[in-house]
This record gives sequence, C-alpha cells and structure tokens, in this order.
Amino acid sequence: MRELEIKKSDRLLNIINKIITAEAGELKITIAEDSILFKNILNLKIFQRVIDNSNVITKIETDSLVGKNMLNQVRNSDQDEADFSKYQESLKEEAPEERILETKKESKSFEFPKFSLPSFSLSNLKMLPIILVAILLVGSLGYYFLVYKFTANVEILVSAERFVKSFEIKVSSLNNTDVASKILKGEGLSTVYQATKEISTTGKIDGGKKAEGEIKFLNKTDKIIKLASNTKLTFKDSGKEYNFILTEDVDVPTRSLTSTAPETFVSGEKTGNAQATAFGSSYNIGAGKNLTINGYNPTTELSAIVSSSFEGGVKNSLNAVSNDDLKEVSSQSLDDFKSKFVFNSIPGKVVLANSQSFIITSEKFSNKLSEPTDKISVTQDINVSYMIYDYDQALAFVKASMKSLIPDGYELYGKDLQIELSSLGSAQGQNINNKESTAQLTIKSYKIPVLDEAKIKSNLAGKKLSEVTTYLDSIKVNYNIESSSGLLNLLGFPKDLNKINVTVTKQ
Amino acid sequence: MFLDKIKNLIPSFNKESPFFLTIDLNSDTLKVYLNEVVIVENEEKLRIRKEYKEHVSEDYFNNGEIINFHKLKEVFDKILTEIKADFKEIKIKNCLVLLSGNNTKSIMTTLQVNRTTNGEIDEKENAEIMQKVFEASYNELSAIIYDETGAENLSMELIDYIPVYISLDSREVLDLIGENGDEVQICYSVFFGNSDLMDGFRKLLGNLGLEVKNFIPSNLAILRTLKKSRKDKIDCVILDIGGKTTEAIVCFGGGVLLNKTLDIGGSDLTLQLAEKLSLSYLNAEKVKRLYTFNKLKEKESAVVQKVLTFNLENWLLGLEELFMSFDSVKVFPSDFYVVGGSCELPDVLEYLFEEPWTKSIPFKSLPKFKKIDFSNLKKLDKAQIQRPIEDLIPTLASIYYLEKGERQ
Repeated sequence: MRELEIKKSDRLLNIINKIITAEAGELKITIAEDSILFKNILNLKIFQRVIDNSNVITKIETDSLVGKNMLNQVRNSDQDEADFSKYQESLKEEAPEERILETKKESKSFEFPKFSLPSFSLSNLKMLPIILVAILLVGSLGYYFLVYKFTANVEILVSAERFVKSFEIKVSSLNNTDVASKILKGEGLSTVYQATKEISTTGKIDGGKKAEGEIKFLNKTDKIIKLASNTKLTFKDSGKEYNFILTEDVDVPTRSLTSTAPETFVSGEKTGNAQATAFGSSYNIGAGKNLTINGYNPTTELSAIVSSSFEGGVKNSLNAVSNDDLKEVSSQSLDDFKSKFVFNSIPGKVVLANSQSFIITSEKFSNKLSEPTDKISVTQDINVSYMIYDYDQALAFVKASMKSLIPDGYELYGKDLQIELSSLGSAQGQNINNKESTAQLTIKSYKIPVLDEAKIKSNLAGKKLSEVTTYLDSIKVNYNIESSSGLLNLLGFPKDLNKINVTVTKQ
Repeated sequence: MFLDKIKNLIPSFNKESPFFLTIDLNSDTLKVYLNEVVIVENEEKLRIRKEYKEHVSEDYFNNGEIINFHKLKEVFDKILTEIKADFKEIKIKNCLVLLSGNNTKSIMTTLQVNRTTNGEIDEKENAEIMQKVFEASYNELSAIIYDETGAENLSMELIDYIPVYISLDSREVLDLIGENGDEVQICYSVFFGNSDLMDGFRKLLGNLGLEVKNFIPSNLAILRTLKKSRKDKIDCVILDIGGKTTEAIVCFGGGVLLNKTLDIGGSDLTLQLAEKLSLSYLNAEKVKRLYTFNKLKEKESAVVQKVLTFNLENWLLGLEELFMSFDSVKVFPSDFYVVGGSCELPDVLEYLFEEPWTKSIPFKSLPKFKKIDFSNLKKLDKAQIQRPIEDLIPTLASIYYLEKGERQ
C-alpha cells in the first residue's frame, strides 16, 4: 500500500493535486493534526470530493480529534474499512486484467507470438510440397481466425452524477399550471384554530392593609372651614413624609370668643376619619402627632392632630400581571401552537413548505394588567393559512421543464427523481400569502452523459490503438478495450463497423 | 483637561493630518500605501503618494496569525524607514488596517423588538436595540462557525455595520430616534474581525509609533463602492480572489448576508508554478506576471498555461463546493462582481466566465460577470486611476475611511 502524508504546511490546492496525480489503487493518507484540511469542513468536503472522483481507494488516519469528527461528517465512518474489504475481495475474485481500476490506467503490453521454424536441409526437399500445403493451410486458418474473424470490443463505463437544480417558480391559486410561464397550480387554505396557554405571573404589586385613625381639626379663624373627603394630610418624621386622606367630609366650626379683655378664643374643633394612602406599618402613627393640611397655616388657620392613633397598617408583596406577562403568555401560546401544529393530510396533496402563516385574530386574557394573581392564561383564535399543490401535477411540471434544465449531452438516469418545493422566505423580500407564492423548486436526481454508440464506432473504425485511446479520453469516459485476437496493437481497429462492438455500461 | 484647553487654542494641534497609511497583510506580501488627502475643486480626494511591498515569510505571519512578532515588526519597520527616507518632511501617525478573507466575518441579522415603554425612542433605547442586534449577530455567527470548524471559543470583535432596513409598526424609517411605535423590526449587516489579530496589529503598530484608526473589512469597502456606483439596495455576489483565499460575499438588499472563504488564492497558483518549473517563489511570481502581461515566449507561455489550467480546474471545483456551502441562500443573485489581485491573470477570468461550473448552483438567472476596477471612483484623484488591480481593494478601504471622516 502506498502512503501519502499531508503536512501542516500543505496548502489545499497542493493536497488536491497530490490526490489527483496519485496512481490508481490503495492509498493510506496520514493527515497532520493542524492540517489546513481541519481548518473548516469546506476544505474536507473538497478533499473528499476529489477522492471520490479519483481512482484511489483510501484509508485515512489522523491524530486530530476535531479532524476525526469532521471526517465522520463528510465521510461515511465505515468507508475506510468498507473500501478496503471491497478492494481485497475484488483482488481475490477477479483476474487483475479484468479490474476496471487497473485497466483504466495501465497500458497493456503486447508480445508477438513466438514461432519456431523447422531447420532447413536438402533431405527435407522431398517433403517440400507437403510443407507448402501445410504453410498455406496454417496461413489461411491464421488469416481466418486472426484477421477475417477479428473483432474489437470496447466497453464504455459511464457514471451517473448527482443532478441538483433549483429554480424559481410561482405557485398560484389564481392561475392554472403553465410550464412556459413557470406557474404551478396551487390552492390556498385557511382555517381558524383555538389555542390556550397558562403561565405564572412575574409582576409584583404592594398589597396589605392601610392604617386608619381619627384626626382632630382645630379652626383658628372666624370662618367655617370645609374639608372635603380625600383631602390630603401629611405627617413628617425624620425627613420622610407619610400621607393620609380624609375618608369623609368635615366642616370645622369657627373659633369662639371666650373673653374680651384680653380677647381669647377657643378654636373650633371637629374630628374626622382618615386613612393612609399606602400600605405598611410605618403609617401606624400614635395619637398626638401633628399633621399639616396643604393650603392652611397651622398657627393662624387650621391645625390637625391625631386624636385616635392610626392602626392596622400592614404591607406585603403580591404576584400580579405585568406587561411582559401579557406578551409572554401570548407569544408562548402561539409558539406552542406552531410547534404542535400538524397539517391535515389530503391525499395526493402536499403543503408548500414555508408557505404557512399564523396570525392571531383575537385573544382574551384571564386577568387584566396589574391585577393580583399567581397565574394568567390566554385564549387565542389563530388563523392558519397555507398553500398546497398536487404532487402528480408538480412531477409532471418538472418532467415538462426538464429539457431546458438538464445540461446538453446528458440525460436523467434512474427513477430516483425527487422534488422539493419551498416558498421563498422574507429574506429575499417576497410576500407570502395563501393565494400566490414565489417558490423555489429543487430537483434532485442523477444525470448521465448521452453517448452515440454509432458515432463512436465510426470514429474508432480503422484507427490505431493509440488514436482510439486518445479519442476515448477526449470524450471523458472510462473504458475497457478487448479484442478477439492479440493483433489490436499491430492492426489497429477494423475498418468494418460490424467488427467493432461498443457497449455502454451505466453505473 | 488644562492641557487640552491649551491645545485647542493652538491651531497646529487641531490641524488634521492629510497623510495616513493603509496596511494590507492579507496574503504573503505586506502592502503599505502612503495616502494623502488633497483638495480638488473644494472636494477631498485621495491621492496615493507611494506604495511599498515586502514579501512576508510564513514563519512570521500565516493564516491570520502573527507567528513571530519581532520578525514581523522588523518587516514593518523596514517599510516605515523607507517611507521616512522618501518623505522626510512628513510625519505620519494614523493608519488603517484592511482585513479580508478568513480574518473578517459578516452576517445579516433581523431582530424584532416589542417595546415595553411608551413614547418616542430616545438615544439610550436606540443603543439598547442596536446592542441586541449585535449580540444576535454574534450568536448567529458563532453557531455557523461552530458548524464549519467545531470551534466554540471565538475571538471576534465588532468592527462595523450597515443598516439594511428599519421599520416601526411595519412603517420603514431611516432612524429610530424620535419615532414612536410598538414593534421594531431591524435588519443590520454586521461585520466582525479576528480580535486576536486586531490586538496583535494594535500592539505591533503601536510599538512603531502608529495609531490604528480603523480596521476595515475588505468586503464592506467593496460593497460600499457598489452601493454608491450601482444601487444602494443592491443584490449581488462579490468574488474577491485574493492571495491565499477566494472570498464569496453574498449581498441582499444592500447588505452582506454572509461571506465564506475558500483556502485557495493566487499565491497557490504561484506555488504550483514554482514547484512544477523548479523556481523560487519570487521567481515564479515574476514568471506569472510576465505571463499575465503576455511577455513570455510562446513555448514558455504554453508551459505556464498548462500548469495554470490544471490548477484552475481544481480551483473551480473548490469554488463550486464553496457556493454549495451557503445553506441559508436558496437562490443566488445573478449579478456577479469579481475583484482581487488575482483577477489580472487572464486564465482566471476565462475559467470563471466560461466554464460551466455555475450549472449546479441555483442562480436567479444566468450569472452576469462584471469586473470592478478603478473607474467611477469619484473620491480618487484622477491621476491615480491607472493602477494595478491588486491596489484596488486597499484603495477602496482608504476611500471608505476618508468618507467616514474619522481621520482626526
């Protein structure tokens, strides 16, 4: 087995050339750990393609773990072993000259038949007529078998190549199938489904109980002061402000004159109930504390004092619905629906890949924004629209389009014709709807060169062996040449077309 | 602070230097261009005063990796010494570095943002949205690179971006700032560079008294030129045939969708010539140039052509695989622009344009090949348009730098 070492310094082109110029047969390739082949998967794919196109059977070795993983991706993991066992079997089963691998590259050596003539002497003259007749007979038979019956057989081996072609078509429910305009008849479908989803809420709001108490107001003027419900009162302590509101209307009477010399007054008094504006025990303030009322001077107009202490204030945190929860439950519901969605199968019809759209037409949430709750759920109406097409029609469409797709000089090979249709996504700025969609049609099959056996025959007739091989090389095929006698090198190919057999073997 | 105030009062401190260097080390040759910004008819134009080229050994720099810092610094130093000798009166501090091939990656990313706040979008929110786009691009690119190379820990630095489209509640807008709406859809083409290499350049050039003002991805510089000269929302494929690589850049809507690189370039052809003709690399390069300009004898030319033909067939095979590896592209645009130093070789274009290698690749219609050259570069001083094609991309980068106005 020959060996090939791929070093770190070997450039990709250099490696390709080494494989291409390697002689047919088995080859052990050792790839250095930091070879350019392991820099990316593309380099390895190219490397493997060159091997596949060559006449070498390879065994690849490397110490690189990354390289081994990458090799497994581009190369069947059992390929090395399989190739080798196949190769060994072929060695046992077939005679070397019958193996295509060798006959392709090796030129056959030719030896003239060896004759030993009898020694000539006068005593043999008596036998001369007999000898002449014998020579004539042998010559005629020789001519008959070696020249007249001489035929040349050429086996041409053509390999099928993968044929993948993509082109843009329009799938339309508005038009009928028209190959020339690249339109395939489709159908738009649309159905409304219902989806629900429940998630835990993530928002937090303050909850608990607000402190309540009683406030006494002292009117120091000669006018009745009317305080409406919700009038704000403020208690200041250590730089912090605590706000309260009246929970009822309070009319504070005027002051009263109690003596004239000197004039003394008693403030008009009235109590009213009040409540803290927020939750928490810090609002539980004791009796006797002074509060201020916006707009009133506590010394000359109106003062307020806690007459019955504020109590019952408690604060705790509650789960509630946040803006994010509303969006999250909505998107999760849609995503869940999309991931579980299965198209109803219609016999003979295929859904156009990527043509589906999911639109929420309405949605209802179990709770409102900021509402205290541990869970929130949504019920959505989702309109699913998509396009379908008839598989048989698509196949007929492809077959009718094939003439313009397959390269000159090739024809499709085998029955393995696969088609894939996919709506073009928004990356190319296409609009998707369920009436009409631009789609990419991909055809996967095998192509094989079309060879005109009669033309090949006429090009071989009367040619020297070297001219024959030059011609066969020029049409880029693998071939195997045999003849009914060993005179091919000497006589070249027969001029008579009936004596040339050309068989084309498709692989 | 006080010193800055004094500097501001002195005009010479504020005077923008018209000279800057463009550095291109994306093959085995270090190219340094001394540029001058000149005013022609009240417009700033680029004038390349002189270019300097020096072969760099693979032992010093290879595959985007600085192998021997000190030796590479010596090569740079040699060129800077030459510049100082040639232009004694000029003091140069600013430089820009061109990144291409495997050293820069670009990707187009679309992001939908549902706003949680009301009111107009301010600068802060806009910056947050952009940050999300950059993060998404980085993650998307990381996944692609992981698939291609198996590498998990990437060192990539954000270099630049091109907005492809921005819409608010399905209404296209030029800028988000000051706009109001609920749903933002934003698509950017984002460019990253090999941060290890960028740090290496900063350190090396910093040691030589230079300041790297910008790293410019070559694909961005080329695309910007096409956007200006052809169409802003251009769909095209750009093929940059460089020294060690051939880079395919797929563009949609005026942004780069993705770029990928084949590890075969012009210097590989030179290496093959050197091997087959038993020449040194530098002599093989000379032979290649003589062949390019049809200055070899007929027999010699036939030998060179035979070697090139054999290797170009293999290059096309690699190119076909390169295009097939763009999994995210369903149909390639048919406008095909070819650029890069190796374009000068007539056989390269002949093979590219005439061989049926594109048959197995899904192009929107038959590819239309076009070559980008120095014509139509409005920012280039008219006297400069007769330059070798290998100078084109560094020139485009210099023009982009000039237009960005970041010289100060």
